[in-house]
This record gives sequence, C-alpha cells and structure tokens, in this order.
Amino acid sequence: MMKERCLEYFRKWLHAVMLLMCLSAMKPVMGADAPVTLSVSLVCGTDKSSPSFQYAGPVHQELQNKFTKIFKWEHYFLLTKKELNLPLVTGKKIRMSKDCELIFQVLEEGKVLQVQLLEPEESVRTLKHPLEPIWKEGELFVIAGDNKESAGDAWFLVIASSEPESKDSKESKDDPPDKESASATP
Amino acid sequence: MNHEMMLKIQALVDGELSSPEEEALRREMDKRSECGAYYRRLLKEVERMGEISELEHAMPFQASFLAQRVMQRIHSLEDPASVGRQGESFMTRLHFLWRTVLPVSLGCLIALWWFQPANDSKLVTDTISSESIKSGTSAMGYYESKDSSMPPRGVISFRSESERVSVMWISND
Repeated sequence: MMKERCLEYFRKWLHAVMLLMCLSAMKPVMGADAPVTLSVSLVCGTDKSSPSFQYAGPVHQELQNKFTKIFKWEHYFLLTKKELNLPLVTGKKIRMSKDCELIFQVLEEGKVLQVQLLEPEESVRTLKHPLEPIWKEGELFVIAGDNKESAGDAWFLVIASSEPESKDSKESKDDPPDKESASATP
Repeated sequence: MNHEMMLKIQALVDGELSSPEEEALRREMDKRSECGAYYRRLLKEVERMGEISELEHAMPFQASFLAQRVMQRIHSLEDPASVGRQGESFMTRLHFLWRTVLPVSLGCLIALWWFQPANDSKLVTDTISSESIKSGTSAMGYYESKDSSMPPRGVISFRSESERVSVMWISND
C-alpha cells in the first residue's frame, strides 16, 4: 500500500517537473512578441568647442566620458535622438537625418540586432550585433564613420537600451526635427 | 510375559493408563521381575528418543510446488490486490510504460535540449585584426553591400571592455 502511494506521488511529481520544463522551454517563444525598446542617438564628434552646425546639445556626461576615452575627439554633440519600439518579428525604419536612414530588425529569436544603413548612393550596409549585451547588460553599440560634410569630424550612431526615467529621456524632448539637425553624413 | 502385559506396560510408559489401572499394573510388575525389566528398558528408550532432535524431511519437488500453489491460493483469497501483481497483463505493462517511462524519457530529452550550449560562437567579440580590415568582417559582426557596383568598404570593429562599448567604424577608403 505504501509502495503504491510512493509510486503515485513520484508520478505526480514527475508530471509536475515535466510541465515546468515544457513551460520553460516555451519561454523564448512566449517572449517573442515582447518589443525591444532601444534609443538611437546621432552624435557628432569634433575638436571644435563651438561647431557651426546646429545641434541639440552636448551628449550626456557619461557618454562624453566614454567617448573621450575611446575616440580622439574632444567634444561630442547630440544631433538627434529617437526612441525605438522594436518588435521581434518585423523590422522598423527610422530617419536620423536627411542623409541617414536606418532599418532595425531583430533576428534569430531575439538574439541578434541587425542594422541596415541606407546610404544616399542607394547602397545598403548591413551590420549585426548580439542584442543581449545591449538590451540586458546596458552596453553601447556604436556605428561610426568620418563626417563627409565636415573634415576632421566624425559621426556616431549610438544604440543603447532605452531608459525612460533617465536624463536621456529628458534630453530627447529637446531634439530638433530632422530638417533642422545638422547633416552628419555617414 | 504375555503380549497383553507388554501392551499394558507400553501404555504405562506412554501415559495412557488411568490411575487405578496404573496402580494395578505396578502391583503385577512388582510380582514379576521380567515385567519390571521390560518397563525399565522402555523408559531408557524413551529417554534416548528425547535426546535426538527431529529430523527435517525434505519434501519431494512435486509436493513443495503443490504446497506453494496452495499457499498462493490461500494468500490470494486473503489479499485480492496481490492477484493483479502476480498476473500482470500486457495492458498493465503498457500502462506502466505510459505513466512512468515515457515522461522520464521526454524529460531527459527536454533537459538535453534546454541545457545544450548556445551557438553564439560566431558573435563572440574579438579585437581588431588585419584580416578584418581587408575582408570587412569581424568576429562581432559583418557587413554586406547589396550594391555590387560599389567597391567594398571596410568596416573596422573593435570593443572597449572597460567602457563596455562595441564600435563598428565604417571606413570610406
């Protein structure tokens, strides 16, 4: 009698474990519809303290410190900043400036972020980066290049996880419309 | 000593006589010495029999098998649950497989799939290298130009571990 009861309890426990494992296995699929919120900032790096182009303001001090340590330019100015709600299934296109249009897409079940730069010469650059370091670990993904409009300067596309309650969101309220921003041509 | 007397003495040794009969027999044994000698001989044999333990007699095979079947039948009448255990049918075995073996197997398969290492090796960060400049690829990411008329442009990727920043520099050269 005891043996049969023990067997019955063992079966029930096994079924419960099986159910939990099935639910855990479904986690990547179940989370597939949750959108990823990223912030995309177009930044211009220059050695001039007062640049001639229009800009929204200096970048956040934390970003300034990071870029100063990595790149050679002394000053970094925020041109445009956009918040991006990116569903995991479809892509999204945004325009950062008159010459800078991007298509964001999340691939491989939320593991890879694909960024396509649509260039004026109708060519497309496709860049990929793991999404988890950006989305969960707070790392920055920066796409950069020389500024064709202004020799010696550089443009930076800073892709990071969006923080709605941080100072960055307050800066975004002051972003000028695209037509008013300086052209930072990638 | 006649045969009848011998039987009475044997009955006395076995304790089968009543008290009056025992007293009458003892009076007769006192009169005849041969009766007394026979009585004492029987007593000695009884004592020897008491010293010897009873031998275990091995049952013949057929008898022990029969005894087992009889005991099984008795037990089955006393405990009806034991009947199913002994008489396990194909459906019972199948039921056991369905309820126990199959969930365990599926659980092991799911555990193997869940805990397998992620195939993200191609996305591991790497430092800048000359090959990456020439080919325009890097361990972090890669670029591809859909415009075949344009010459391939280099993408240099590097990473600052201390600042936790990954950079892809698009060279215009």
